[in-house]
Amino acid sequence: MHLPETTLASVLLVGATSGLFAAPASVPPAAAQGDLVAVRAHKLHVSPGNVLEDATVLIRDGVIMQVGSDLTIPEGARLIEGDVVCAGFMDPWGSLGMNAAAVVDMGTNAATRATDGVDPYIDPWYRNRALAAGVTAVRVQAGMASVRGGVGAVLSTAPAADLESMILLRDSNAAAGLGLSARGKAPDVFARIGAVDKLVGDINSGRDYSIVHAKYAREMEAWNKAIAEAEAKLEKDFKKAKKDRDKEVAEAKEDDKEFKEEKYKEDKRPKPPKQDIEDAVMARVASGELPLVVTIHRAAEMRELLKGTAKFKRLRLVIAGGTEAEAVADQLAARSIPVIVRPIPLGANRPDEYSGHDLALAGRLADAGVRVLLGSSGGGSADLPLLATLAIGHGLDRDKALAALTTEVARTFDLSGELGSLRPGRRADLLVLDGEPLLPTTTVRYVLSGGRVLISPDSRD
Amino acid sequence: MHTNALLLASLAFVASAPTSASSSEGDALAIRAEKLHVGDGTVIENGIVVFEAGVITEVGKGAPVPKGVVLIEHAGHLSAGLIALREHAGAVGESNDSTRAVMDEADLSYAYRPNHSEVQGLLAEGITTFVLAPRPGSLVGGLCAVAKTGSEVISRRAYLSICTGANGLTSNRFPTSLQGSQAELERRFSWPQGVFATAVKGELPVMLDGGSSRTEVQHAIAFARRHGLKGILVGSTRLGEMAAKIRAAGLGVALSSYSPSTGRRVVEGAVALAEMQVPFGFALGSPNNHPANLRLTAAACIRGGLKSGEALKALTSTAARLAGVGDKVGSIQVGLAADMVLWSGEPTDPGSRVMAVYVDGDEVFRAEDDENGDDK
Repeated sequence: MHLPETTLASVLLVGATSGLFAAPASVPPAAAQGDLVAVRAHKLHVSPGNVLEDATVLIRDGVIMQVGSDLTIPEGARLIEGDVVCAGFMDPWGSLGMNAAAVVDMGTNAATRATDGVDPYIDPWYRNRALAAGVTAVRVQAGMASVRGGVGAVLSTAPAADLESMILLRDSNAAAGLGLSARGKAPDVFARIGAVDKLVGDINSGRDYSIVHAKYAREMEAWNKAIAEAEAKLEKDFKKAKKDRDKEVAEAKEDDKEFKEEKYKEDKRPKPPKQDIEDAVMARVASGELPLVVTIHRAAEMRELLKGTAKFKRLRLVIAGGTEAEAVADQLAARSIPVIVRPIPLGANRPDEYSGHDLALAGRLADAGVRVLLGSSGGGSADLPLLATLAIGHGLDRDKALAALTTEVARTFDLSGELGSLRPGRRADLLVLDGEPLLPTTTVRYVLSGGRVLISPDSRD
Repeated sequence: MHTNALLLASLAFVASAPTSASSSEGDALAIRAEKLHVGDGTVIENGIVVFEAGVITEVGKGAPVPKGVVLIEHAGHLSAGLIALREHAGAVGESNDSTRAVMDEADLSYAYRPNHSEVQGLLAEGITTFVLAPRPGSLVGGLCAVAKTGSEVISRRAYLSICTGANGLTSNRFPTSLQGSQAELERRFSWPQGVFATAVKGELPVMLDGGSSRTEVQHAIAFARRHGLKGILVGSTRLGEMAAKIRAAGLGVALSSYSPSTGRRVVEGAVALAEMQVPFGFALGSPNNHPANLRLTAAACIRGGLKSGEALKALTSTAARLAGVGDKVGSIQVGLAADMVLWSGEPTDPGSRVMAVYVDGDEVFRAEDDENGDDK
């Protein structure tokens, strides 16, 4: 790894504090203290389908303070004006900002952390291109084609001074890949179904792990309480006990006998269960704390996965790819399982799992009531807004396409309070456009990330 | 071929109900679109196109619709069918021969299979005409054909396909070097008869794959100038960087399909070519590229600064002219084939849907769920 040692160490330290049921880290603001920006537009997409006319967004210290049509712009605020304003796009299935070796690593496990593969100094050109196209955040994963991808993260595409400032969320999800081709060859059908069952088994292990650990925590609590009570009693009876002991010592001496110390029996300390960092991640998956992104394409495997996971009521599955997902659309809709669709036109030479790839997938799933996200599946985040237009041209509703890049991504990865819409309290990641979003003729004029103006008409080459 | 019952049910507001909306048997048909893109850059609001026996007979805002002719109202845009330069759909293994370096008389029209699924797939993306070309790999690949999608071949000698760059080389047969291929081509282009001589006379354009690097492209341009060749350059993402040289050589360009890794060059190239007024169209290269790539490439160029109208010309009229079939297809003009696409919106926006496609006046494609309407 090319990370400086100090930075790596700090990541490990921070990582170590996120225990079994640690709360997700909050999104860091990026602008300096006291920065005041007002963005005024003829049309303001607060969220897809929720449009304000002639409205203003007020931003302080990188966070949206107020949104409305009748706001007075405070003195000293930097004013940016444009035709259309919307939230920054998010690529829910990307790799920008990750060390390439980490992305293609096939040896990752459930506990591998994407944050350990983050490199703030890599691909500045590609990241800037993504930013200029309006993509302000990317969910990344180590081992994108690995059987277990580990813990994913959400990164900002803004140029980062250091590692910490580009991480928006350090544990967005757990991940698994099922039936994916490696070196141009697909695993055989028995291996593929076996892999699904193994994943179900791992989730089960995670659930058992959390049960055992919760039981241990309860036992330890009881034990500590018993010890405390015994100590308090001893403390209370200390003087009498000392007197009694002194008396016994004296008597023993008198009788010329050896004094035998009375042994106190304490309750046996509960035996700690086995620690396993992979099971610990799967425990967070089974409890629904972390969504589980499964890259999976074939209908047979998806059916097996849906059948096997039906018993985990708190599990939050997310499907990535989902080439043949139309076959299970009813179940996906009923269980509110989102699908990250890759709206890329694939030619005849494609991996086996993409055989049935169809640009109409996103539209068809949405029509069937399935939640749809759009993702690049790699480093092509800059092309995602353009590719999203292809999904629209093949049947996806325009507002749903916008949601697939903003609100749905935020909702899926528990970031609705921080990203994806232009509501007070959200991080100020937003775009100023000269036309409606997701049109090839529309130019992205300004891009704000954490309240900072990073792309402007002057900054373009 | 689809029947026309659906069409009538979905968007025809029929003045007098006919039994067929096809014009191929002599029944005339008229379509009024909110925006009619002629193909030369002009757009007619509420334009009407009338066609009969597969040929356009009237075009204009107030074009007279003959009595008894069905007028279809289309709440969207209408343009000529798109044209892909350098295409391999449906030819499977017939479009190259790795054992022979030179196949000067190979006729690609023999490789055309109008009913192949790959060809039919082009219709769903609004592509009604394409240049069936040999795959790269041979020094001289043969004669490119211009085919109507799912229909007939309209030109059997559109181009002579030659590779001056590394794309024509393989390690196990002659030539194995760039100098070797140049020497072999020089020798053949000095022959007094045959296809090479015809090309030198300017009677047979060339599709010149110069290879991908800037050096190779410059060699290719120099080769074309040396022999006075007419035609188009293909195969490189860097052609736009040489716009001035290409213009000086009087050549056209078929831009490569867009992909994220090469995208920026293609995009900047298109803008540079348009500025230098070098005629250009787009190569597709299906089945290795998805047919949607044609419009995606144009849209990427628009996002990069190319005017929407210029992009549509490159997809239709300019491409037809470059392929030598501008008098048959590529514009909505009287006398040209009734090859048209009905779009839900702007043709060059990939977010617009292909609602219906006509080839020679026949409806050959209609969006599956059109009865729900997407013209909202």
